[in-house]
Amino acid sequence: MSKRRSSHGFYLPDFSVISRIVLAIGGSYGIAVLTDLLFLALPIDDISAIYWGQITSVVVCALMIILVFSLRRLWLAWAVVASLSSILGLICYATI
Amino acid sequence: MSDSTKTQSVPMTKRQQKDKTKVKGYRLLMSDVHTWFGLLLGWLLFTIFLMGTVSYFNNELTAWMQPEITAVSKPSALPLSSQNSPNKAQTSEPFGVAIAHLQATQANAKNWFITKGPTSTSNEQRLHITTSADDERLRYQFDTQTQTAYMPRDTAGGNFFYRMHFDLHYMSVIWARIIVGIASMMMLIAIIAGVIVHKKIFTDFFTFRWGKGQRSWLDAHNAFSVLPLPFHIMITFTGIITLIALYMPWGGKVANIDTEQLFEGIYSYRAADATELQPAPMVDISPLLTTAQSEWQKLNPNYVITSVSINHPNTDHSKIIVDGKADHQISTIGAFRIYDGQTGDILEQSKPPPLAVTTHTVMIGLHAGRFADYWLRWMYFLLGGAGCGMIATGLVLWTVKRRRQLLDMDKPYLGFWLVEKLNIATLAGLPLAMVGLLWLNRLLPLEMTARAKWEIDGFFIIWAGSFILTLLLSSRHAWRVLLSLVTLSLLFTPLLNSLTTERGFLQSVLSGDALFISFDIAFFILALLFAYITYAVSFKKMSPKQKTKSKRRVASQIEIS
Repeated sequence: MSKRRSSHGFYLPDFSVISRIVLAIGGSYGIAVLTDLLFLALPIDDISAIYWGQITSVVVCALMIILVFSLRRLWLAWAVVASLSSILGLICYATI
Repeated sequence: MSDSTKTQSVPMTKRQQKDKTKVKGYRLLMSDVHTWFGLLLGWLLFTIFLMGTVSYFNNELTAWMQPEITAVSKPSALPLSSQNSPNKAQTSEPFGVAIAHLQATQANAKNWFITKGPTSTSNEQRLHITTSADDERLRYQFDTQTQTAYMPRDTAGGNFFYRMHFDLHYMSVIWARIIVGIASMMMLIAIIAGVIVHKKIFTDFFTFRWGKGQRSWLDAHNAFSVLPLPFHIMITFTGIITLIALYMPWGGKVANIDTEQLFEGIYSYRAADATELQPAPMVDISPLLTTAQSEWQKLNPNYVITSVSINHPNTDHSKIIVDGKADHQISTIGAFRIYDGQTGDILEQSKPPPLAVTTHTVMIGLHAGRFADYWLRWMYFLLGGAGCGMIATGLVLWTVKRRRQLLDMDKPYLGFWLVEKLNIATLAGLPLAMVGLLWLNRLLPLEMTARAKWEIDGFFIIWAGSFILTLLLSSRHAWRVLLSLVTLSLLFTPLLNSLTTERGFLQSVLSGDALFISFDIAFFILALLFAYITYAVSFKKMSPKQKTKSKRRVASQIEIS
């Protein structure tokens, strides 16, 4: 993370930090939503699918945020999130 | 870097600059995540955690804030035979007595809601009644044995802390819950990152280096975090799950599920919104209760009736809603039956929920801890307290760590200054406001209009006042003043209670009033704890060795630059 500071002493986040934050918020929530929806494709009743999907989505969201901040290269983090979203999105589109 | 910043922070040494060029290790990367995810909403998290922790004694707090309602004698449960007898007259059942009382006093109400009081502050005969007629709502307790109605003072009660825990205040409930959800997710991430950061997680728990400044704060942070770690993970995760329907509604939308219908299948709540009502007599309720309970007990012998709600009593649209639950059941959903109030026919009844719904409600139950007996609730309370300690030490550690890098401790940079002031206003100001609310409960005139609202407004005025005080005083003085105020107010709460009620410590001991004795002892213990914190944080001076070390470091940094 950037160590540059403003004249008031606040850390100035650089582009990569902002980009990671955006990815962590949007990407993790997006993948969590797709995971939630994916459960509707399972051969279980809709009510169970909704509840299991919601519970799993919290775990997935937390893991995705950790993953976004764990990957050293920013482009790799974007690539992983984009790939996962595409795969999950395609499965959801094809099955629901 | 501007000139002003140069004078406020120590410039990097050559060694530090060299280190910066190295690629950060994974643990160091996670350390940043842990720090910033913990700090950015740390003050809100501390508020949520503290409010949640005291909410484990929500009913007891409410009972303490309504001292005019006499203590209950326990246990005085009806013998099972009398509860199960189908021929028993309506008036022999506590619920039946309450309904007879409501027929006599509020026959034209829109809704009657009668529920058993919590076992910790009530007994089988003491029922809680809420009636609503048009826009008016009346709440009171009713002793079915002595036929006495207890009208308590208008108070926010312990429920204020409970609602504040996830609904905050002075803002839209939906937005508050979204903010609380974001804070909870940040907490979950900070906990996971904290585990990854720890090289020696087990050893760290048994390590405490006293009087070593930053090292001591880190050890305290570890102690509050490591042993209760399963609790911290559970409470944060289940906290998000309790409000998950708000954060993740997409499954229901895509599957085109009628959520109202879904919730009506799980929960018994039905709004009393019928119009064009005609007067009509109501069926005798006792046989219905007896049948419902005995049939539920065939499935689970611990099932008992917990509440009875009657929509539009004494009309042709009357509905009797009976709820039952097993004692110490973790899941928050029980069984229910809805009867036609005129004929006594069953209109609807609960079905066993799907496993996913049960899992969801078990998680909510684990979070709320309502199933827990006294001992387990104390455990919840202490672990919640450890969570508050973890967040508080983490927030203080952030400033302690960075204070060492300041050139001039009296003129810190704005970010440091803001964090330190927010720390003081939250970690010391919030407890002061909480005790202040208890004082307002005793000091505001009983006949005051909107008394409960003024208790809450007073809470926020005290909290805002402590923030202003923090801004006006130096940090060291602000810590000292606010923590001393918390200590003194806690210490004098039992005295205030004895002066303003008839349930002071001596009277409580003589009458065996366990609730009020426990509160007085708890206030005293908390006062001792805050007295120690006041001493440790504000009166204990930095050792001469530490001071010299700090001065030498600063001098050497200036020479190098």
